[in-house]
Amino acid sequence: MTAFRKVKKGISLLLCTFLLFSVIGIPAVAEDKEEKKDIPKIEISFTVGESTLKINGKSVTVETPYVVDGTTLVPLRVITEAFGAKVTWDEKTQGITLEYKEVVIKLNIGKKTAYINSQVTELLQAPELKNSTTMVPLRFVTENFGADVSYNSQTAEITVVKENTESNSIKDYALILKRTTKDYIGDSYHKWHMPMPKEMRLRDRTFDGYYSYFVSDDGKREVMITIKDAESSDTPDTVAQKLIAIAKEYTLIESTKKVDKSHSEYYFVKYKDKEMTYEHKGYLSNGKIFYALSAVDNGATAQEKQVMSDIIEGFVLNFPTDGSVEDLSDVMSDGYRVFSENRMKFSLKVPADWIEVRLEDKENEFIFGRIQSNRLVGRIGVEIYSEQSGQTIEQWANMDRQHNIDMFNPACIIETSPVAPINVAGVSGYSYMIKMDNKKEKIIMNDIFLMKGKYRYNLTIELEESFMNSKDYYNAVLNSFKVEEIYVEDVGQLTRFEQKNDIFTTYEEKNLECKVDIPVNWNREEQNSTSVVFFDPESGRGVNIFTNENKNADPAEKVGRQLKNYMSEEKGAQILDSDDYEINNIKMYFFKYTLPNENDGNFVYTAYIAYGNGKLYSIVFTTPYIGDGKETATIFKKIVDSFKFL
Amino acid sequence: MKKLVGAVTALAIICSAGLADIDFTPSVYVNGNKIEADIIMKDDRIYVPLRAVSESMGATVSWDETNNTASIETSRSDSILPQVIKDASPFVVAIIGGYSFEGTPAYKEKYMQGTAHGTGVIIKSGGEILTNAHVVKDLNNIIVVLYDGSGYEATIKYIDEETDLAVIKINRLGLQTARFADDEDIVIGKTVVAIGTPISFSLRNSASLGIISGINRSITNDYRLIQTDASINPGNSGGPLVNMNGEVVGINSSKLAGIGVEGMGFSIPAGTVKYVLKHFETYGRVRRPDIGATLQESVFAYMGLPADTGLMVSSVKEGSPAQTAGILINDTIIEVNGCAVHSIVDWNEEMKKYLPADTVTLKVQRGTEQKDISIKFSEK
Repeated sequence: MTAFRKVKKGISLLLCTFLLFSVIGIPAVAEDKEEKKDIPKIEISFTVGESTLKINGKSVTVETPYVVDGTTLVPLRVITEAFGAKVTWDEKTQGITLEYKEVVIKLNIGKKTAYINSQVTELLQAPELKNSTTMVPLRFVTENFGADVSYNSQTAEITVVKENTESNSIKDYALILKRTTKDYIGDSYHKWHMPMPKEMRLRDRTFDGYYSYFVSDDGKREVMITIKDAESSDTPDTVAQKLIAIAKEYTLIESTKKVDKSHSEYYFVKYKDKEMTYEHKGYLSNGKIFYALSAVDNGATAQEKQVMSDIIEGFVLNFPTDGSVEDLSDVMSDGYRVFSENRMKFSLKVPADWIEVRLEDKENEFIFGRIQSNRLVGRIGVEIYSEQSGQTIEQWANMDRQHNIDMFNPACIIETSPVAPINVAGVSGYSYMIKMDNKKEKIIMNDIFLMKGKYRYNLTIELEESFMNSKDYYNAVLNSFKVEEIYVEDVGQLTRFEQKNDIFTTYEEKNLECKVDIPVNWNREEQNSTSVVFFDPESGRGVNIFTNENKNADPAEKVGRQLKNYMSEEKGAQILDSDDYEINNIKMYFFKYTLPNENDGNFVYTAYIAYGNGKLYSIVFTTPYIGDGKETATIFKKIVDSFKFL
Repeated sequence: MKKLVGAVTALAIICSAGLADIDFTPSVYVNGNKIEADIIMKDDRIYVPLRAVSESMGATVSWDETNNTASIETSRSDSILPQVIKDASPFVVAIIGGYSFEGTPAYKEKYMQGTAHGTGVIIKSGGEILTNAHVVKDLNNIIVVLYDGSGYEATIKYIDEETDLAVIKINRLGLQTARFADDEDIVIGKTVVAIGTPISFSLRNSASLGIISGINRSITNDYRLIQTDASINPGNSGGPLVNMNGEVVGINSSKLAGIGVEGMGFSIPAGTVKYVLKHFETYGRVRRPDIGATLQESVFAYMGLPADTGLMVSSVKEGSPAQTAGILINDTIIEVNGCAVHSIVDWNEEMKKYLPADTVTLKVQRGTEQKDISIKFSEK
């Protein structure tokens, strides 16, 4: 509807005006009401030079829009139809007033001066009449109505879009700035909460929630909440003792048993040094030990110090569900939390009671574990490396599997599957399984290998069988594993360290008058002038070389047998193997044995007895039972074969 | 004044004796300029037209007929500054947002958020706000607080890191917008005021006064900047440098300030702002012409000494316009379409005139020879 047709001669101006108003005024209002309600999204699209435009989904034919000096002019109708804007026309000044929401635009035909809500501005191009149609600058009007205008220079298509929502000012800054407005903070999974003043902020927290650290904006006041799994031997008194031991290092202010406002008992110590004053409390509850510690600069005001005391005093072991406490816990209803890594772009579910083992400085290795009764009953590991040319994922899987088979004690391996294809996180990969028995329990180890983008991943899920059967962790974790392409520019090269067990270095032990070759990555520790230990912390392998007086100058074979019998009869050792052994013109005797009733893991010992330099030499190899496999045997043989007297 | 009057009187007596047509009306000069208006001598006093003298001294005169009163207002900063700031404040906004510390695992993100803030200038009444790119680039969420105290969430609509400018948009209509000054108005010595949110968000819409200390300055930047001694602190970034007419002469950027240097703040000139906004509107981004070669300025140009040493080509990319045009390593480019270029900033400023696919003539020095080479730009 082109509202401003030039009226025929002869009709009085007044009548024209009346007619115009009657034509525009009423329908415009009607349109106005209708449009305001219905359109969720306002859209105008057209190609310059065409007369049919798409307005809010409808095709509308109008006086053809055209461009003047870079400014696109469209018929006023386009604006009113798209926005439902109200239009008023002043014949006397040739002025157009457009109203849309809280915006009032005033334009005049032929004038570049325009007003937006009475702020004067200059248009690039004045509105004009073309064939009795009022043409207005599209960008100017629609942008002031809040729309986004875009022009495709290749197709000459113009698009104007506006989401027709009400301008809503922010009511709750907390949602956006993510700072809590609640007066209390706590953890619904570990079940604790405490008062939290506005100037304190959470600065660090472990993934498992076992450690939370709060600090004030000025850095002078801190609160640390630490949770530990209690040992079966722990009692409230052992907790008290631990606190007293800490407090003893400082100037003691207070040390006493207390009861908190939820009637739970705890031990409390207050101590200080020259700079800070500490309030420290400890609880034993539900198999866990909870510590709440505040550290306040001695220069803080009395008010600030009181606030900090209130926090510690207000720390209790429950979590109210009335919404008054900010919940730090991210444990989901299924009992898992999601670990999501932004740089490495992967995520997976980890059971809520598992902890994250933090590896310093390693950004491409992640380990989660579950400790129960001092044992690691479950382990999830994620390792990420750059792609390696010349090695497919399948080859990598096979190499890894073979390495494990060589490394483990064959007697421990109950069952193993060959490398087979698997689909994880929508990616095709390979996996294999090894089931082991380490004399104490059965462990099922699944290794999954896949590639995404420029990186390859090794996901390991290791669970004790009894533990695994009771909760379906394996499937839950495996199915939750998600991975996205990592930005190579961001992360760079991640190279997998290949354990080089075949690079050895020679150690000359002057005190022991011998020399021996040891793998380069083992550590050396001197016990005393007659004993030295070499060990590999990663695999748990080691060798202890020590000397004794051999008064009788008995040959090694004889002494060796005597020792073997002694171990077997007096110590109850189980002898697995024994024999004479000769190397480098040294006659040795060896015996391999295990000891009964070992509390901290099973080990296999191999002792080589030799005689030289007037002394009796003992070379005793140690390996965890589970690691007593081909690889270990090879390494140990190489060590013993390199043994020479100095 | 008395002595002068006496002398004039004496002179008048002497002169009136015989030479009636000599004009003895005193001439009055203000700051070396003669007042061209009727000056009257009466009772040994010089009477000057109020308006003529006041306005020549830079004061404004207003006449209140009802009360029969004339008011003179001197244009000392003291009286117009509050008005300038008051008029500008509606188009200055404060920007605040949360950002994640680098390398934060997702589970920490919820809590380990920092907040950063800056300032912005409303450029379109439909909700578009101009600020520095570095203010908004890394924010997880952007909040704009208007002069009336209402806050809105904003999204980045356009961003250009090279000029450090960005346009964000809020869902609010009918806003008051800023006007930009013309290049001719940017003159050394003119009074300017920086409006913004320095240091703390509670200092929203603070004003600091200074002058335009220098133009065509650049330190580490790629483009020319306005230098001012108006305090520009980190929170001022993205805010306006306003002249006494209430026009924005530049967008302040604390990023460009020297560390530990006082009295030296930098602003992106209105000219560069207009160039960038035009490109944003037309192309959605800044389209820079490129020749595909690395240019190096002489050490003198780098140090800011006057130099006419041109730009040396230190490398030419395979398949680039430079290679196609036959430009070689060690060539020195002296002019682009007749305009001299002696520094990287000169080059970047020249490039504002062109678009990718434009063809220009470069004057190149090769050894002792000077050649004119025609080259067609690709896009950076």
